[in-house]
Amino acid sequence: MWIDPQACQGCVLCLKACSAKAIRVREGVAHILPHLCVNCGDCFRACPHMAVRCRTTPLEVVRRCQHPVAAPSPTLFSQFGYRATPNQILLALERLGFQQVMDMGWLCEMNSAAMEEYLLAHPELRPGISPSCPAVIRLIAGRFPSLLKNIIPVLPPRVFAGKVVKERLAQRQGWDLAEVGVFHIAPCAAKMVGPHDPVVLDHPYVDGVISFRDIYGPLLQALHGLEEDHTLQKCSGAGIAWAMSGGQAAAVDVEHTLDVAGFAEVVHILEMLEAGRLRDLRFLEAHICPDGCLGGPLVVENHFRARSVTLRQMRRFGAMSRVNRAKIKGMISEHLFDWERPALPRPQPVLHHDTGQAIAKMKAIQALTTLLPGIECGVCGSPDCQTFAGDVIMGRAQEAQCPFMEKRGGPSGESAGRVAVKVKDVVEALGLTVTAGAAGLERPVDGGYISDLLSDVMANARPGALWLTIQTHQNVVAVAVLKELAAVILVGGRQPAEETAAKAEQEGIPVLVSQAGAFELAGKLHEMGL
Amino acid sequence: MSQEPPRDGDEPEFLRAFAIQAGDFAGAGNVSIAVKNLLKELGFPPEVLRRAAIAAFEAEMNVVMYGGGGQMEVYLSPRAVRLVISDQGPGIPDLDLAMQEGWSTATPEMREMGFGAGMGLPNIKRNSDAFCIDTGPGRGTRLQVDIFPR
Ligand SMILES: Nc1ncnc2c1ncn2[C@@H]1O[C@H](COP(=O)(O)OP(=O)(O)O)[C@@H](O)[C@H]1O
Ligand SMILES: [Mg+2]
Repeated sequence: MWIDPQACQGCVLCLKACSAKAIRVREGVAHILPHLCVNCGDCFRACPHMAVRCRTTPLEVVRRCQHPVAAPSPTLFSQFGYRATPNQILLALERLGFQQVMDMGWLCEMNSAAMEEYLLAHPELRPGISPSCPAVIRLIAGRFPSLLKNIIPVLPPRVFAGKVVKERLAQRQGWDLAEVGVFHIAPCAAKMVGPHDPVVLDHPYVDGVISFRDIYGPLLQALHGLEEDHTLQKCSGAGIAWAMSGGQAAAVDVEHTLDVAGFAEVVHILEMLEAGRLRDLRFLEAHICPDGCLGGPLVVENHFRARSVTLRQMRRFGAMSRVNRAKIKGMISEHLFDWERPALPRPQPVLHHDTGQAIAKMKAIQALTTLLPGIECGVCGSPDCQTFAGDVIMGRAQEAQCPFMEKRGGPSGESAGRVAVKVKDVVEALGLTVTAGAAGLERPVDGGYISDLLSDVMANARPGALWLTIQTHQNVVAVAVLKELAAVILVGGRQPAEETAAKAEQEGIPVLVSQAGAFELAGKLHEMGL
Repeated sequence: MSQEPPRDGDEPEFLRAFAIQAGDFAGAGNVSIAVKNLLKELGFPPEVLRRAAIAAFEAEMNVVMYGGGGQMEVYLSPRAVRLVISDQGPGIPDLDLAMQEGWSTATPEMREMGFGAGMGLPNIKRNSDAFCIDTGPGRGTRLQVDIFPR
């Protein structure tokens, strides 16, 4: 995922949609924090301005390739209504110029069998987690590293396809490996390898990820008037439905399987697992998208209709897989499904490497959170008040970015815990004369500011401050109103101009007169605890 | 029945309190999850997270099931995690019995949901470095658990 700063309007829609809390809006542009992003695509779905982009491979890359091979997710079969069969869709891909089109439904069935064999060989693994959704793997590596060991180390179908092509097919065909390109046709960009990936299985087997959206139009044309002269489809309904939520849980035949889909729901189940619950579970199928890959961000078809089409195809082709178990066992013993590297944790930032300091920061975050409005508006550019407090304490945001805090004025820590001083208390304590604006004597006072330059006061005085000045003209009142100052104190016995007094009366801003100079007066105000 | 006093000069300080709702089986576990995530963010090692999560979860469930609702307070120092779980419920009449593995007053409905193995209190004790419980008929229950990073 990336955000086009030109197209971004700086609204809060992606910020709010991001379950990983990986987006911040700064200076009117949304930014993705790569170490938190799992590439789920929710920001892409939420953006009305097309400013969020998915990194996928353009079709030109396929055209330039000598030996392009298509490895389409079986969800592609659900995108063209009830009439187009998987075989027709595979043939249409061939017509588009792919030299070889893999029936990924079939490879998915092989994958189910391989996962099942792995689970049977590892009875202590409870549960084994399907490695198919890369966003889920990123989520586990970041937030649930203790569950990394539960991921079944069987190559997911797209990678397995690439491996078979490059290690077997290319040799058989006499292709120069450098000229072979394996393209996964996918409903999401989560399979694009990123710099923060916990495990890179795809390299060097998968060369690109093509979006359903990019290939949909050409495919539709290729389907038109298609002659079904040969058969590419080997898969049954089990392979067709494999990437739909529940598809793997149904296909992997072990006791107690569970399928979960959607970011928050997946997090919930992983929390339960990490807490040592769901102990009976043998197999977990988890998809970051609602309804699994059918609900991917780059699908074309509505996902309820896609499910309907998939179920229809399942009935038509039967749910019984014809994959030969003995062959799978042979491939397992040849290590064809093995991961070449383990998944590594993706360390999440802690508040501080020293626990004592981390606790202090946590306290500061909590204190600040209680002062924030809690309306979760996102105007500050952080997704919610608690996260904003964290961003402020960690130095990634300014308190004044919160419109509520800005209005209240100044660093909360200083004003909090002080006794409220009112203008009338100051008048009494220092024997000041009230020349105008007595209606404002109940106003609370928070600190003071000394300056005779109006724009300096406009820029720097905090709301609630007492303003000590020698200026007596009426603009002083205007500035005091605009900055929501508590009162104006004219020093050295100066008297307000007539218009100034009138305006102060009208606005209810007390204009006080002190015989003392600014220096002396400021000292006394300090003694009062201001 | 405290087994090991907190170490000198390392008294954990109050950080936060979480409310636990009575009979809220749907939300049950959420407080323990929040506590675990809090400790995670602070950088406590996995071994501490694991023990704290077990203790917190069992104690939370007891408050949900028997205690009639209550709260969990978190106290922290770099060298100690202290959880104080309290309720104003019926209290435990015979603590020695309750501490025995397998002893439980869970209802058939609770057992149906997988609770009531009578392992909660013993597990809390096993996973903590200091464990102290104050309870009695009509007095409610206050459980204090310390976990020291190793
Ligand atoms: N907070 C509490 N208030 C009242 N009774 C409690 C409380 N916590 C535990 N008990 C009693 O102690 C028994 C044993 O608790 P525990 O070891 O957690 O096992 P279990 O929860 O499986 O019954 C419970 O069945 C209950 O009778
Ligand atoms: Mg219990």
